[in-house]
Amino acid sequence: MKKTKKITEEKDVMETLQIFPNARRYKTNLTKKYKNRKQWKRPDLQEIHSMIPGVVTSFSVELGSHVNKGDEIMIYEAMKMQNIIRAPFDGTIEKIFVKPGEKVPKGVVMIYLKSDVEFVYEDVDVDLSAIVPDPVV
Amino acid sequence: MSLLSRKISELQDRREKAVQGGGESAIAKQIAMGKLPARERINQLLDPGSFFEYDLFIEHEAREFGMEGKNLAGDGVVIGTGTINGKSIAIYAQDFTVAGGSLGSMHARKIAKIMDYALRMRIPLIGINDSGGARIQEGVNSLAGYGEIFFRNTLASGVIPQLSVILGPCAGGAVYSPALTDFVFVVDKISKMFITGPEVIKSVLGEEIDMESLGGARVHSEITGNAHFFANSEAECFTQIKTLLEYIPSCNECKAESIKPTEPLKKFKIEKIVPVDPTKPYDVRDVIKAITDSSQFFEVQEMWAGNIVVGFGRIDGRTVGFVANQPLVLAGVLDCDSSDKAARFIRFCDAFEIPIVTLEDMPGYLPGVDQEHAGVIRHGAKLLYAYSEATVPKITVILRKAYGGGYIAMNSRHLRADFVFAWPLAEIAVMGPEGAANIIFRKEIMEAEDPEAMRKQKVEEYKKKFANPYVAAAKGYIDSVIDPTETRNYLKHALSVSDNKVVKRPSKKHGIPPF
Repeated sequence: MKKTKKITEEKDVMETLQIFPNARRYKTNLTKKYKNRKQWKRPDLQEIHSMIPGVVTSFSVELGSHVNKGDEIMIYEAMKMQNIIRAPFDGTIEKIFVKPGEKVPKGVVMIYLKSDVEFVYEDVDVDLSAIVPDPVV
Repeated sequence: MSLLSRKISELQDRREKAVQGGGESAIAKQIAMGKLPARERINQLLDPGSFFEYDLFIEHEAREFGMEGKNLAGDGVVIGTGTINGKSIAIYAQDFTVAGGSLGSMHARKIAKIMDYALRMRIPLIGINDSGGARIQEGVNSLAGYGEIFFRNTLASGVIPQLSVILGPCAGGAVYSPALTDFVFVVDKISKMFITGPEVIKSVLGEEIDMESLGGARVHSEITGNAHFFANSEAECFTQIKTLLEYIPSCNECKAESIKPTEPLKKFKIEKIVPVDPTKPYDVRDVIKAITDSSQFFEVQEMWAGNIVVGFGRIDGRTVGFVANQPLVLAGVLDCDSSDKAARFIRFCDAFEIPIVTLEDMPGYLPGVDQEHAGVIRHGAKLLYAYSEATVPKITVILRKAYGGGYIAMNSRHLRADFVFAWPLAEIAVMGPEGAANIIFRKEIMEAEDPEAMRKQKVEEYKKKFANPYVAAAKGYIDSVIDPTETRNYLKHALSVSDNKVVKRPSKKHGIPPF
């Protein structure tokens, strides 16, 4: 019988974690989930992703066609349902990355819908310096 | 001037000064941010003239870091009682104009006081959150204050409805009070909720993100599921609060108010909504509207986990909680988020004696590595737990597909549904005909001269035999197979006969739901 030896070395290598800026650093083990975390990226809303694994049934539009919000773009079969994918905003079909009959995993960009108006990301920050009470006479 | 009128005029002076909060410039700043001052919010939400304020003259207790001698009007929070559409409620509103609405010990004590009132008087509690967080100068006293609030939130949970309205920042530990309450209201561009802000995240992890993308109203309504109601303005948010309060009772031992019954609108033709082809999607909310009085449906968590729809409506004048699979989104599958969403809603309905009507049309649980690794077992179990635990009248209507584990989870007879009805289109089986035929007739299909033709024949055979409501009806798992147009009548009757429903369960301290 083959004997397997447990690898314990990995455990001894502790990593550091800081949870407040310019403050203490802690020596600790990190969880697998933490190490594999993904860096946040601002999503491009013009990319239309597959929401679940499925198969492209058909397109109701062509490359270059203009669509209005709510228009049917394509039929995407998943979980035995002919799901209708609709335009989330007014725009032009700039790219189509999949073809009818294609099996698609979850989260794949299927269509690039160029928006008629440019998306503006408003950053509405709050001035938290107000927490420090003003001197009141 | 008599002594009495001098005393009264002193009171008026004191009142006038206190209600100015942080003063003109701070109020101007608040308005520039698109926000209303705390008292103005209360006035707009409550019935005119119904608000009575308490603890106006409270003074803060901090003696360190230059805080002594400083006057913080009402210590940054307004508390009181009043009415909304004639219904008594208790309310607190943090005042951002006073020291950024920061929470010191007296501020917390005021909130705790109004929470105690609400619990004792058995009236709903509304909390308007607009605060920069803990008042650092008050140190651990400020933390103690939060703890007192969280404890009361938990104590009151399931006794009185608790509504949290986020009308400004709600950061750090402060977020846990709303998280413990029943319904969280957010307003676009105004609400911000997070444990650690963008600055800390940037300097510790190097991740750059703005406040809105990190914890704005949209994020909590669409991605995290922390918020239940999304509004574009404070005024719209107040309307939502008023609507919600019409549907729910004031406490767990009071009944939700019944109103005069009305018929659904004629434009919702129930028999025309659901396509016969089980692969064709439709909006299940139209089915709900074809059933409810005046076709009114007040949806909860509309923007999150859209594959399940939950919300309130009325049948025959009385409030009903609806839980419905939504074929329009993700084919109506059950997954982690939709299970969490439905389970929480069911527990609210059960706690407040609101009957639950379940409309079922779902192909099963969503397959995939991400779902399994996200813990769909643990999350899905919450739904089973919530339905099994609920003792309010529970009625299920199977509209179309009811397969596998999903069939059991969606308030089946086996989880003690009081009534289960099915439409003639219903397919109740362990799995879809295609999958089932492939397994059961594997050998025949493989050995056939034309396996594809054989497969088709066997699928048809299976469909005929099992993809219908009559196998389950033969076992008594469903009570009646009904014509879709009879749905409202069956529900009306089922609700009325369940009025005195009594269920005895083994006594226990509490169950252990898979949190």
